Amino acid sequence: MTHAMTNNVSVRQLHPELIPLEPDDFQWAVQRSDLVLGERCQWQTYLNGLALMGFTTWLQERSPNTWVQSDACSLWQPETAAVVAAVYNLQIGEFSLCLLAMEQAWDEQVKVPRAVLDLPEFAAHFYVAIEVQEDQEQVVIQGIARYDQLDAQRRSHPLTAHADWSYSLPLDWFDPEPNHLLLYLRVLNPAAISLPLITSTPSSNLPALEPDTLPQLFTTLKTSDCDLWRYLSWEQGKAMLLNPELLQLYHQWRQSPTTETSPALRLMELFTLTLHQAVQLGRWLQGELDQVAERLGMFFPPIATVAPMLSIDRFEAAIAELRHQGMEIPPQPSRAYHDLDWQEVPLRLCIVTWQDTRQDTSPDAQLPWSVLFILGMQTQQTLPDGLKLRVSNAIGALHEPIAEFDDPFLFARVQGQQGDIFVVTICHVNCPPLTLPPYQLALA
Amino acid sequence: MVLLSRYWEILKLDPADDGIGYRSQVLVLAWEFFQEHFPACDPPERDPNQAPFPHHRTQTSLYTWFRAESALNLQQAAIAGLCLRCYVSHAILGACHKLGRLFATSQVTYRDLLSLVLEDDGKAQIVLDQDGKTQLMLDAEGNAQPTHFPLFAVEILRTFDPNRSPETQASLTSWVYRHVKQNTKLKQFFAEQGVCLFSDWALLNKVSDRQLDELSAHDRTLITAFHQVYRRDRRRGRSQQTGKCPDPTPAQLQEMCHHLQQSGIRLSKSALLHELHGLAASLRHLDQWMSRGAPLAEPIDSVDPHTGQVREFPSPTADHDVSMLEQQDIQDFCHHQLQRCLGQAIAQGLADHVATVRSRPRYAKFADRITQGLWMIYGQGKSQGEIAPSLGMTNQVQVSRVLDLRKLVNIVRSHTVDHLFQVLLDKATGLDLAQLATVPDYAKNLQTAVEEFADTEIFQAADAEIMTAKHRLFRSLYAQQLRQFIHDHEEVRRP
Repeated sequence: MTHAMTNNVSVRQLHPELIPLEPDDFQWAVQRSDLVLGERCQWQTYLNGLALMGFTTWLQERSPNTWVQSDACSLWQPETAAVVAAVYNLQIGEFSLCLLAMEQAWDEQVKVPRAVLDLPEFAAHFYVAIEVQEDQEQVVIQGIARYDQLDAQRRSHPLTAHADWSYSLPLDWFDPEPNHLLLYLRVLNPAAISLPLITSTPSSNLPALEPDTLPQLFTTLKTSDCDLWRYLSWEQGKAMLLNPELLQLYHQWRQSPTTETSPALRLMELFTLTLHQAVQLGRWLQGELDQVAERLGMFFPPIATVAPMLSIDRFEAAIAELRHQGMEIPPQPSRAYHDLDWQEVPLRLCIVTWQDTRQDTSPDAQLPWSVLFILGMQTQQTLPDGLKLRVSNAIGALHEPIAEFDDPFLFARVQGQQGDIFVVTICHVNCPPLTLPPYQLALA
Repeated sequence: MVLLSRYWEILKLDPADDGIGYRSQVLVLAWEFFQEHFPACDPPERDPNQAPFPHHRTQTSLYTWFRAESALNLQQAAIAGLCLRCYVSHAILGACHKLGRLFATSQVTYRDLLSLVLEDDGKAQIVLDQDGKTQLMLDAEGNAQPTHFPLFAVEILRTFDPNRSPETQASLTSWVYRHVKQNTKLKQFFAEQGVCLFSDWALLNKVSDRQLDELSAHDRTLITAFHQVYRRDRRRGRSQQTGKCPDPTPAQLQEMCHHLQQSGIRLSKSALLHELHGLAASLRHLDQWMSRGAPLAEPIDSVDPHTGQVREFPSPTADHDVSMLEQQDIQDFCHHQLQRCLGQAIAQGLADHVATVRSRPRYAKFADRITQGLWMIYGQGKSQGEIAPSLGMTNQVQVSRVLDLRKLVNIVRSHTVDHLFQVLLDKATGLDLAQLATVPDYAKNLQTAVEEFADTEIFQAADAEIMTAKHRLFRSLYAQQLRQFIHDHEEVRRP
């Protein structure tokens, strides 16, 4: 045993890997960051871009045959670059990597967005902590960690998430020897690091919002600077991050924020579908209103007891008329009313729901479910001309009938399966649209 | 792998400026004690298939002797303590390396830190008093006397309780690390030393969200306004300007004032400049940047509310040791292959290095001078400043950027380790290669064992002589082989 053996110090512990940045790297990072909005977001994206450039340079030098596939990574998509402060979806062969850029490592903490650890869709085989010394024009690879290591560490030392949807991981959880990453890439079978499975279960913990919360949020978000966490709960944030169309629309809308245009309308619909707890129509079939419906002041119409011909309400007549026109509506469908004071016009939305009789006899086929929306007035008047009843789902608008020539009603019928969600918006050219909380078809 | 000699070799400060800052010394008393009480621990006598050495149990035993209450056992307590002090001295070095690395960019080296915290030379025999509060020194007659200068290493042991943290040997190591970070002298040093490498503006740029939260509302608004304008312009103007952060322009200050005014803060440009300088000055103290808040900065004896255990953050590299048999295999094979692998690695590393420099627009034209420059330094003992003109460069900074001695060591090290690893896979019989692709820790630990070997045999020395080469004496195995290589390829020596 030699004398020096006792010191047992890795040279790597003394000197981290330094990678100089070139003018091209800066130019690229500036370009990427120009596409996101807000100074703080831009600066973080800029650092992320520099981290990616430095990391790629290092990998090319150390392992020239390794191909980094970065075109699918988050930096190429400004809508995701802006909301998750990390470079994720970086691919090397079958391995996925996530780069965590930081400006200094003095506090021995690595800030990690919750998404890249908590959401299977964003998880990576390897996490690389990269210090970007912007003014020194170099990056330092501070450490690497495998998903299984971080997962085991956080199981024995539970982490508390910060309010801004991030964790601080001790730098100690990262291996200071970046060559080990090269080793893993060379010898490991990707299955050796098991990543969490992606399940398609939608989040069920969304809050029931006050009726005007979303419009207010809409106004606030126009001016916010990558701090969605200030206005949304993590459950909502999660739902938003997992909805690419919503992220993209959100990004587009922030570039030209208006409330009247159709992208804004679509964004509001998606916000509602994604962030708002839904009215559970399944409960209605059992003759009771769910909590969301109650909070919104929905009500079952009073059962006619005396002189049925006199008390029959207009909506019941409308349903009878639709049945007469050939719509297959069962004799006693569940139905509730939602009274809306829209621009001082007393509207009433009648929501009728039922399970359709089975056409297909195969036992696996799910029973289709119908929802019929009938928009009318609380009074005997007709609807304002040009009023539009728009019904949409996560994919797009399904129906948008427009009132004309003294129409007393507008109606739209949608069909769906267990779990489907629909959203209703009332629009008129002269006023901002009113999006109502979503309706979900689900049996308890 | 933690070597057992850590229990009887103490690391002492060695200020000689061509050394590594410390040297080790075998303490005969500690060695005898350890052999007597842990006889089966001597590597040659251990069963090679045996599990890794039980450091935690050993430390617990040593600790129990050290804290023995009976006055009869004072001598034994002092020597058991000595074994632990040896171990602590190694952990202190580790802590200084770690901090030195973290603060490398602010020009703090581990040697600076070591001189503040490595103060135990293992000469005094020290025990604790009955209630474990005070250090006592044994005099020539073996009587315990009060001491006026409690040793830092013993203070660390005094507050340590191995029974409280059943984790592996990492726990004493991380206990030491936390104590080193909280050492008064070291904190003082960090407060005075400061982050000297960065300008005020670079520092203000680096302020993180977490730090912002800790500032007063006024300062937070100030820095946010600064970021809004200065960082935006810095990013946008990156193509025209160099790395250093220049003073903010009057127009930028004006815009910041405007932002501040919207937040209800009225400041003139000069008053704002003054306040920003003040903020930067306070950020200049390194301890402002060191960990605080969750989860690492809890008070030293904080206890996990759920488990009642002291919260530990063991290093992930501390567990999953490779078995003794594998370790022996690794050592044997590596010894035989070392010279050849190093030779190959130097040839490859040098070629890589030249290719890298050639690919960097700013320095490409100097790529062909690298070997010549290395010869002047490693072969002729010249300084980087001296050789700049003959390489066609203007100053020492350029020379050090192009030759980048440390980076070359890093590349050669990587290649050496790769070669050794490959040899190991090809020839070693005691390894379970099936695990390589499926058990990530197995692959990592094998490579770590090779790295440790290569570092110990070659690269620590190669690295130390770059760091301390005031006398420009390059005597390491690496330097010899590098010289040999350049000599053998004589055509590369001269332009």
